[in-house]
Amino acid sequence: MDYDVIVIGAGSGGLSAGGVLASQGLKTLIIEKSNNAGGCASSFTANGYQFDVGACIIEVPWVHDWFYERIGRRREDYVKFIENDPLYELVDTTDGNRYLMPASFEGVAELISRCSPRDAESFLKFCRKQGSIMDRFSEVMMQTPQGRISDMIKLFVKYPRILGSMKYIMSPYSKLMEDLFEHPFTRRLLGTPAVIGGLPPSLQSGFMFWQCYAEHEGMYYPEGGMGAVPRGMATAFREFSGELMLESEVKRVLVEKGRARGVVLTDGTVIASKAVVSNANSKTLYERMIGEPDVPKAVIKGLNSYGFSPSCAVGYLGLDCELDLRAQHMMVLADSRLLELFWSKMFDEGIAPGESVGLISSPTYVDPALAPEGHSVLTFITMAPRHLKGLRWNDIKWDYLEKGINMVDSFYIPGIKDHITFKTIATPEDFEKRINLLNGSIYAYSMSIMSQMLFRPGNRSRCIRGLYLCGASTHMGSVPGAVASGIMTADLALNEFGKAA
Amino acid sequence: MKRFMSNMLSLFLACLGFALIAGGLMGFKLGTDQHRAIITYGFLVGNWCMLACAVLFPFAADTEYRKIKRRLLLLLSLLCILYFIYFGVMWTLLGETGMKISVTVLFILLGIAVLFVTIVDYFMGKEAYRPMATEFLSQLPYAYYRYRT
Repeated sequence: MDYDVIVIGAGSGGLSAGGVLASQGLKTLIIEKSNNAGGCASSFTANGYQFDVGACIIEVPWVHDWFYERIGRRREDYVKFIENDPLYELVDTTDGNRYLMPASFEGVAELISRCSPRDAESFLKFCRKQGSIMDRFSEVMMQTPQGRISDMIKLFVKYPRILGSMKYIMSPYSKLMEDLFEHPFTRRLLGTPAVIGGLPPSLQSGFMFWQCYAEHEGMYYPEGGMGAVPRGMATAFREFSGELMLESEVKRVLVEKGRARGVVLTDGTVIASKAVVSNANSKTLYERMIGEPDVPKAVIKGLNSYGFSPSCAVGYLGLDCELDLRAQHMMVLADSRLLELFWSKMFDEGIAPGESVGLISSPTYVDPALAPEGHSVLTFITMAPRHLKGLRWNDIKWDYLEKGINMVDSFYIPGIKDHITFKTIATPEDFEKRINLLNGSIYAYSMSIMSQMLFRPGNRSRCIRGLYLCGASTHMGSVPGAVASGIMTADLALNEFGKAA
Repeated sequence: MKRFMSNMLSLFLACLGFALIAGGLMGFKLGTDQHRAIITYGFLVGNWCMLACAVLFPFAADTEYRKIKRRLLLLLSLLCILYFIYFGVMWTLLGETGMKISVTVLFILLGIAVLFVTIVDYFMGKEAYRPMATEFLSQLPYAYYRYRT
């Protein structure tokens, strides 16, 4: 055998799986299609500006600490996190008013109390009673594989208190907002996490309200840009003699007698291994890299039944001025009906939203070294459908970028249009081509309840021995979810090698 | 008033479901005459109740859900009629043990179906839960295939 384990893809999940496996003395190779590691959480440089490809916030930071602890290292030695306080600035769509979201619960309650003291009290009560339960459950969820019924039983045995919070989990986000808060402002203020979580408020689980709690545990940005996160993980991986092969694409996974035996690259190179870990989307893995008859028809049918999570377009701007901002991030504060309408237009009708902007991030606010002196970097993210009705992204992308810039200039940061020295855009189609985001979806499959846990592809393949999966298509939760899935997958693979997790 | 009636129907369906399951669980211990009694009450009376509900209760639902509610109840009623026909035919053909097995298995299955309808009706009947419940139900048939992935 050439390697003990081959990891396909150097996204957050692949790097964490590879790191844990290599730290246990397994000869590990990570193969990555693009020229740098990190996937959605990576960076690129253009005209002296460093941009984040997609992800631009570090939440649930303990997951990163957990990864480094698992490999016997300290996270601070590889990547430093800068705290965001205030968390972000919110711009109200109804009146253009701006609000700073404080990092502390008390600060948020104070902000809410300006409109409704009763809502402020409800918010604090929820955080005190439910916040810690949800937080602990999320921690258990992040650390427990959920591929089998027995895993689910273990999950609830580990943390039975969650059963008391089922009414929040099973409740639609919009209903939870109505039940907890009376004032429209509070509902708008705390309604955004539903959409960030990948579903409109009427379909999103009330569990996402945990996000409102979790972000007050801290939101961070890595020193040196988002790319510093995968760079740190890759450095640690290499320290354990792990090999990272960039600009190499896996064409096929070798399967013999129902067992993964290695991979074949697009240039025809065959690399053998005892086990394979895939950080690629499970649909890509099973359908394109393996296929029938090794993958049963029932699995293909299951994969085809998944809906996709939302896709995004990102505008990248280099500016020849320092921005006068009050926070690194800016977000829109919108009514839930408006969010539902946008959602329906985008993902049901395939209409590009035009002037809508969801999140603006200026990393130079916390780390000026990401741009030349006196310059700034700004990215704006809009949710956008992968498939447009009657149009192609390539035909409208530059026009779309201009509309986004106009929106930022007129609504969020007046005057930036005159300072743009560099601009580019990545559409959902680009994300699909460049970093293998199937359908351009940021969280892989839909975030609905029927696509989670037992009903999401398992970390240990249920049809091919020696094959393991990690990343967004197996585990919910964005970058932290992907990192956690990598650690859990590595643990499952370690069992096969007789090494206790 | 609508909410009260809707909750009453949920309560009635839940009681019926549990009663059917209980009847099924006891089915193995009962004699022939008792079987006939629970079959008659369980299905004939159950069917009439269901038909009455199908006429009355949809008025307690909002316009969008009224048709679905009526269909759900008529479906349950039809299920009761089918069961009644089955037992009517098998009455003379099955021995005591066969009857016991039939009563146990079919009552429990029907009880589960009624409970399922109760849960579906409870959530679908509430406008705030309807989009989520519809999404959930539309994906339910794929649960097994997704578990296989």
